[in-house]
Amino acid sequence: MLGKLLKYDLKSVWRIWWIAAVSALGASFVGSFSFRFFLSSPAHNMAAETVSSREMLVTALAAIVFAFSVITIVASVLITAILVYLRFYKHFFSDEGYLTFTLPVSRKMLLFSKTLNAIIWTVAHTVLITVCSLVFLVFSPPATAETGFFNPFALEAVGDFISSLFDLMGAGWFLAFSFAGFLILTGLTVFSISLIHYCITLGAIIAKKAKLLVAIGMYYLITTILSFVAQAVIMVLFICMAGRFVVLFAALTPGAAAFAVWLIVLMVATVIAVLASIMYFLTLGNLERKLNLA
Amino acid sequence: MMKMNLKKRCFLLAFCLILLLPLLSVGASAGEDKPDFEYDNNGRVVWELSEDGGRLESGTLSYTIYDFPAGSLAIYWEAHYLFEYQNRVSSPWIEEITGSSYAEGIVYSAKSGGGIMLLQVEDEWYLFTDAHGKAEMDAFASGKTKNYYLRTEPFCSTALSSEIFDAMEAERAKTDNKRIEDVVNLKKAHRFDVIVYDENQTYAYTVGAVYRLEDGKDYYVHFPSLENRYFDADGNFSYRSGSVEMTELGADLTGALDRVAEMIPSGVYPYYEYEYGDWQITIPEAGFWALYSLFGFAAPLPLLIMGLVLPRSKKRGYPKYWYVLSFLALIWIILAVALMILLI
Repeated sequence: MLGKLLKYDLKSVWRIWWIAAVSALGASFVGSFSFRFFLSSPAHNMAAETVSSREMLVTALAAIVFAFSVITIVASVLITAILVYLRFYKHFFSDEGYLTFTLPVSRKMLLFSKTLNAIIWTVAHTVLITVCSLVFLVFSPPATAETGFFNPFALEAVGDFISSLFDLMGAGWFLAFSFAGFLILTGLTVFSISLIHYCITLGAIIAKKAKLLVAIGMYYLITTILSFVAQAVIMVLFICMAGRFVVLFAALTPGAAAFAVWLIVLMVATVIAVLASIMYFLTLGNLERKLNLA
Repeated sequence: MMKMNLKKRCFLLAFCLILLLPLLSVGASAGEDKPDFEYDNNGRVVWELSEDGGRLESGTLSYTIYDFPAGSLAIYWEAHYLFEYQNRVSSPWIEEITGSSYAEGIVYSAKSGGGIMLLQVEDEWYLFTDAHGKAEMDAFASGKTKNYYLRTEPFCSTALSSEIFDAMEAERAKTDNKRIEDVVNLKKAHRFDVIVYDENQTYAYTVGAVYRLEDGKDYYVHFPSLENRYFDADGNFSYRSGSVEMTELGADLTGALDRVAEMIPSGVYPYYEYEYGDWQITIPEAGFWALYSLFGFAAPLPLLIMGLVLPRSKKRGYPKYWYVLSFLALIWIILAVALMILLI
């Protein structure tokens, strides 16, 4: 049954998402060539002693086109979020909710399907942004006599950075820290999704009208409280404990120090996973016990 | 009402008590010995500097100003780590040397156990030692310390094993691998300095240099064996004029030096990057472990207990999700234990 729920959730978002994705990809191509033109333009480089007003105008237009392409890509991120969370809200807390909760599926399965849907689209959009970034890296550096049309300068810089990390850490630690980083990213993704779901659920429970507005208000309130708490904890950790950690680390061998850092990263990932779980279970608890669509 | 048989309650209580055992580290850490300095209410060391700048005192501990023996190679301050007490000291001597009645000095230690103290007054560093520290610095200044480093520029150096240094000295003892070179050419050549640090990586002198010339080979010059005319008034090797005899190093040694050179940091050691010693002004070691126990054990403990107890609650239910929370809390505690074992 999860498959069917997920299928309709994915189809519902896909109907509009593909347009945003194609727009973002197209904008990345247009933007990278505009940026390339802007970089190699005499008006930008001030290479020519006199730059004609036509060249100035065309260069300015290229800069504007580049700016718009960045805005398009950023807008695609917002569109994805709106599609996913609006689907959650409408499916559960609008008139559609009456139909949803009559389905022969438990509420925890419904929430799980929505969460999985949000994760899938977050990953999909991350891949899209990565592809757009690669397009920029490949096409925006101006051509040179040595490299020709495709100037791999930016890609090489990224590759050099990654290989320097690899050389510095070694294959084993590179994989270990990549895995820990992956856990943290996954935890943060689930946490942010669950937090928004929780705020939308709270908004629907608290308010009978303007539920979305209340949900947005709850989101700002909860994130403000969480950021205060997080800042306080981080300040205590850094001010009171960082100095001691440095001394203790200095007494370790490089391998032991790397292992200690890895343990700390895993602890951070665990804490994030705990927070994400709590947020998810709070949402589920409210859906199961407190929701009243009447 | 939740019912749990007596056996399970006893097991749960014992399990929770065992998890609290790491808190005993607080008491163990608090008992650690600290030098007998005089401390103020904030845990900072209180210093007194004599009027003539010759003695630095705190509590029952006293340090005497130390000057490196005349005739030693140019010794310079290039600390990797300093232990900062974050406390200032004033004295008529500091006022006299700075010309300012508001000037103060900052006291640091070269090592965590005390014994070698450094007083920074504006840009100058003054060395104070107790009897043990004096013996250490005397051994360093007389060339008995074998703490070699390979250096490209100030604060950019990495440890050089004494085996490699001894191999270079063994090459120098031979007679068939010499080359005479104009020092002006050496100034332009790629160069690694071979320096000797004291045991605490605070003071160093340059014991030699390795030059890579246009033929691609490495040539070694050992400074202490050279006459006075090769050095300027500050005791540094002079590249102004003259020739010097160098020792050619074989391919094996060149390769070994290249591998060491790869470890030299590309950035300069930050001057202001200090390690804090045992006596931080913010928190003593016992406090650190108390906070560590709080974040590492006490924080996940309620989750673990709730995750084991509440699945049986008719009101709260959701056994699967409570077990997930308790599993994550257990992982948190295990990681904290592993890190604590590594750090102790």
